[in-house]
Amino acid sequence: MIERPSPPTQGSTVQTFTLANGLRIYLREDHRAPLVSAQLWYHVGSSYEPAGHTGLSHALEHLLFESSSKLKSGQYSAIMTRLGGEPNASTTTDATVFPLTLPGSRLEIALEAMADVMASATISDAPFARELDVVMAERREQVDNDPLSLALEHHDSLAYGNGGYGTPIVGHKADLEHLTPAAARTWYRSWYHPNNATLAVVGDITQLQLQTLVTRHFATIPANRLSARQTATAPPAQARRHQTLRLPGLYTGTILSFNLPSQCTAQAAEQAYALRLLPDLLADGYSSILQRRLVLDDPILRGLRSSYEPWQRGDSLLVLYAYCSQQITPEIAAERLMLEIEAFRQSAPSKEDLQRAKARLLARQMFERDDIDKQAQAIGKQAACGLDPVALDNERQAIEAVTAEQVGLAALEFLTDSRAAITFMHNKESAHA
Amino acid sequence: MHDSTATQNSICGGLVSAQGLDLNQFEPIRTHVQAWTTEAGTTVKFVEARGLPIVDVVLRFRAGTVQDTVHPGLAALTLYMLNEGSQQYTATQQAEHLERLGAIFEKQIRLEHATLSLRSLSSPAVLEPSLALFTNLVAQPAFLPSALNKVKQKLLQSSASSDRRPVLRARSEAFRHLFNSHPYGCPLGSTVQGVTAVTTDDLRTFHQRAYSASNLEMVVVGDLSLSEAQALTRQISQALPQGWSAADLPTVPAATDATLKVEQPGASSAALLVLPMNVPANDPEFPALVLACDVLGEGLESRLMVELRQRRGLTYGVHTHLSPLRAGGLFSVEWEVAPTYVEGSQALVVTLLRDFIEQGPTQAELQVARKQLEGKLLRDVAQNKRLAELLSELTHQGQPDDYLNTYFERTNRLTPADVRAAMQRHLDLNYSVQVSVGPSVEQQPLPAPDQ
Repeated sequence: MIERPSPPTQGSTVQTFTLANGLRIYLREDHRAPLVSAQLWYHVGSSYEPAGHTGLSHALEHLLFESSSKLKSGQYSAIMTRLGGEPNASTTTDATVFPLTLPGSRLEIALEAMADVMASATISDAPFARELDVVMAERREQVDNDPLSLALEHHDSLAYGNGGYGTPIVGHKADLEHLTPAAARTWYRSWYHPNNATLAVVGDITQLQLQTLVTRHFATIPANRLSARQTATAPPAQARRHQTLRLPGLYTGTILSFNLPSQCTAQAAEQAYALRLLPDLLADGYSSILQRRLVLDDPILRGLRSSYEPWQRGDSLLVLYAYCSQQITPEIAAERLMLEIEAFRQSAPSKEDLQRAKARLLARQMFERDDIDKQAQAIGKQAACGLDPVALDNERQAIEAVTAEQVGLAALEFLTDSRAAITFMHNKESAHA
Repeated sequence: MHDSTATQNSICGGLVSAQGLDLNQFEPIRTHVQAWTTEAGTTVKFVEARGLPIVDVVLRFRAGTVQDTVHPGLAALTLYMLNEGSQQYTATQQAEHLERLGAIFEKQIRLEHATLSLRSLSSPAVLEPSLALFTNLVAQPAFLPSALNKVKQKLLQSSASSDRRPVLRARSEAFRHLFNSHPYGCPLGSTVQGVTAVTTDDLRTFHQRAYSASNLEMVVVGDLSLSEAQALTRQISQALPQGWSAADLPTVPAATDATLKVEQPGASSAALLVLPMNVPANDPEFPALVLACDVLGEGLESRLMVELRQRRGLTYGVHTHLSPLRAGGLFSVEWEVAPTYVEGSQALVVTLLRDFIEQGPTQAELQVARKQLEGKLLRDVAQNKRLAELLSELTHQGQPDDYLNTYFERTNRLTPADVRAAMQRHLDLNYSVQVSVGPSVEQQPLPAPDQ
């Protein structure tokens, strides 16, 4: 049954094997506690959805545990709770994930349930209507009633354009209203196959034990032909884009992003790792370059943070979230940020700044080892965007080797005006105080 | 024994791999917590964890917002000023040095405590300078007037934005009503007047008392030996001001019921139901209330979640929560709902609560709740950072040193009748406070349930 059992790579602790039906399994043993984190990652998410069908992957995630050949509606979460796990699921741009962390002795029951859902979930009409209401409620609470989330949704659309990574994971309200059980069933039959999934496991189990359990429950599920994947293409490097949002309760501030490669689309490893250092160099931590200038020395901002999703099939974004001090407008904040970034673009980072960014990134990677769920998540994310978690297991050397010149080149190429998208956020004073 | 295994595994539907497993027992928790008090009066909990080269230090001072009785905001400002420069280093230097080491510094203010934490790699070349900076920052702040002005503006802005968030606004309203004229009645921890009035002298006086070694509970978890931990905790506690401890607060005023509606624009409404529950966390009846809370509103299969979400699709989530404070406390239910169903859902929650308090949980519900809580505890003690936070909370609650390792035994002893009795003694719907925050719209009857 095992097609490609591989010995652990030298210096690596992530082990892998693949079943004949294409299911890929990655394991990092971690015996600090008698727990195992097992996450089933389906390689489908919002960036796969055709126009007019936004929110389909996420809605399907909600419907999966309604019933399958061995489980009645609601039984999956009841059983997993009873076993000591926290049944949960989440949808991202590139994946739909079903994670569980359980005492090792309960793992097999969870794997059996996950396999049963992969092979035989039935998505019937009655729970569909009810669960769609829940998805609508989720959208209402987490996006429509949260001004910052709403602003981010608008910003993603501005930065990525319509479609692909520019559409909301939860879906547009208008699309959700037209979602049908038939569409959800088709989506399930298109993507929920062993050859489109990765099982990421971290915890107190050996590869031999895991192989036995996974083979027992997953090996009989047949592989299936997969639809052609929509490749999320990069928007052309156009002119700077901007928009103004006025919402009640919105923070006064600016979201500024640059379209740049992900770890998948970077031209070379040197460039990929140089990009990874940008958030810490520029905006994360009180002594990052932009915080030093704009939060500490000349405090026009009361807060600044950034994000960069490295693990994405298509191109990604470096996003800066800047919150204005009193009397400072979002327009002024954006102008100052662009000036500082232009200055950074024109000169390689100092040795001290580069050392600091590396130390933070490397320490954080070590700190994340504390959490077996996060370890499994890193593996799953990498697999879901087509990279090899085994090869990526030890990034330390590659990060340490990044030079100031490489960062300078990446900044010069990508932190340009034409790649920038800006959302000016204003608090709209309401009539009722 | 064989019979009970067969019965409980029928819970697992058609899953064959559950057969033969005893699903009622988890492996026991064996976390070795060492406890002592330093000469300067700091209580310490320490767990040696050698699996990763990491050390977590948590400092929890009884320096929460309830301590600033004269100028509400003083406690928060004091905490936020700690990384704005010390007598040795500017704010920029503090940040540069810590960040260059990859160390992570965090701070948090609550009603009853101000908490600072440090996460550092354990190699001496990193840990020693990280700890020295951390200690210096807590023990010898500069409290410069220029920094104070900046921090005041930030605090006022962030309080104003908190008040615009429906869920936080609802909580504030409930606290203000239930704890009127008591220090718990100001849950944001600051007022504009209070913040404006604070001077750097106030900060110094407050720091000199509230950041005393004897007012501190410290937790250390990670890659170091007992003697190293002893040296570390001695070093921190000696550097701090000495000799002051927070006094106990007066008991909370008698509760009255209320229905509070805050009108503000939005796509959904935040609803909150609060009952006074004056049971401290180390009270023998508290574990029964934790189980009750879990059966009602923790997880997808809880009673409220099944009725509001699974059967009616009204909400994405409804959650219950216990807030045991030292001089009082409360039980709360929180959910968001379409504005038109606020009153319908409030009536439904009251009915479900009333039935539950009257009847208590079933044996099966109780067993799910136990396993849910035990599973969470197993996951928490498995991570250094969460273990450190948990120990900090347990120390604050005055729980016994063997709390973790005896937890399973304690919850397994409780019966449905115990849970029911505890609820009937401590939860009274005649004193409920109902809060809603959202747009004012015409109310509709709830849709019929699914099944």
